[in-house]
Amino acid sequence: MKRIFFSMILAFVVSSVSAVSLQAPDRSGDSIIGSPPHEVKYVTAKYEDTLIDIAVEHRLGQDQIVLANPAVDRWLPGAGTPVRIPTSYILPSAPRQGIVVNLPEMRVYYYANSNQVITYAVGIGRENNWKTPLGRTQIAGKMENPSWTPPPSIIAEHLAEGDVLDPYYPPGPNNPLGLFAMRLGIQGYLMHSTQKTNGIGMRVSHGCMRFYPSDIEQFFPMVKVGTPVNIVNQSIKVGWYHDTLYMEVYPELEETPATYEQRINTALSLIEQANGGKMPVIKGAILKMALEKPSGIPVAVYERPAVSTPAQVPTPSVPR
Amino acid sequence: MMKAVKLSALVAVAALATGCASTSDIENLQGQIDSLKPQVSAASADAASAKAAAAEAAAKAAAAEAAANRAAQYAQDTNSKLDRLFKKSQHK
Repeated sequence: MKRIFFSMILAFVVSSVSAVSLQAPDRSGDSIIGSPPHEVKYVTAKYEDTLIDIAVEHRLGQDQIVLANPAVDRWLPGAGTPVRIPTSYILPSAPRQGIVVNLPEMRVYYYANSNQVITYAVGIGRENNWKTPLGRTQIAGKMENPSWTPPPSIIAEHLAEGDVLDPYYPPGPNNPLGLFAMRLGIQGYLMHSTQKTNGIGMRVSHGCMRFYPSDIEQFFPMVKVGTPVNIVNQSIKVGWYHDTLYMEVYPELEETPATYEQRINTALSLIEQANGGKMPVIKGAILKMALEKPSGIPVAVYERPAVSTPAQVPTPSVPR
Repeated sequence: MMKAVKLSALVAVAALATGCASTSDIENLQGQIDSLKPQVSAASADAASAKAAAAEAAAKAAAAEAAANRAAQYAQDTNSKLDRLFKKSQHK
């Protein structure tokens, strides 16, 4: 009986983990994880839903769900409205090791091992003076039940808006860092949990990366001190799924704006690179639409001819 | 010769007959035209009235479109305000 009970618990854990733990691409040249990108998942909004609720329920980023559903009202989707749930991601162009954070998509990719990639939506630093830094670092320390001592800059910012912060927040459920925090090698920056779960997938922090509490609860024990962290800025990602080349586009970060022409050039250069240095004949209208209206969803831009295999001569079946 | 005389007489009769018929037809036609005049002017008035109604409808449609655009813009502005407030509420 006990064994059945534990099996049930294990099955539950595995199914909840499967929401974000994804198999690494099954072909060496591929770089899309999750569902096959041509498969589309929708959920139906209920009368009382907002896109915010649906994003939290599926542990997606807030900006991500809005990008994926441009025709749906964030505040009043309406009963019966189909809401697209992104389920596949192109891996960022970076070494597949440790933790990769792609800021424009506000998403962390953790290469747990060669067969498994785990991805989480995160909140990142605000546009003005609180940007999340780019570059390579590592996990420098881990803290369970962290306390928080707000730095003078944050105290001053709150004070300017008439909000007086406590000088010290003890560990516990009321701590803004939540129950888990990991210090980066870059002084002053953390990956941590949050009480403000609705801010995941938006630029809302002072530069830290905020996780859904249930996500960091899963992530925290897997990550070791010294794990490399690579924070990149890739608003356009390109990758293969079998014989189809996909492109996934996000809006540029405000601090690194690019013109439409620059974005086209970047996209074309990434496509050429992905196609072994040869520029393929691509679907121009789709490329244009993807760049003009970033959806954060992989979009097929080119299909290469399938590798031809020699015709098999059927062998007569011989009774054995 | 006899044939030619016969033909000339026939032509003369035909000419007379044609002449008489023309006069009465014109009068008849004039009568018909006169009787149609009120209908024509009524139709013309109807057309003018329809044109005015169409212009009024077009003006109303344009006003409705402008109102709809204003409402859409207002809704968009409200959504943007809500979005900003929402984002700010998530700051630490």
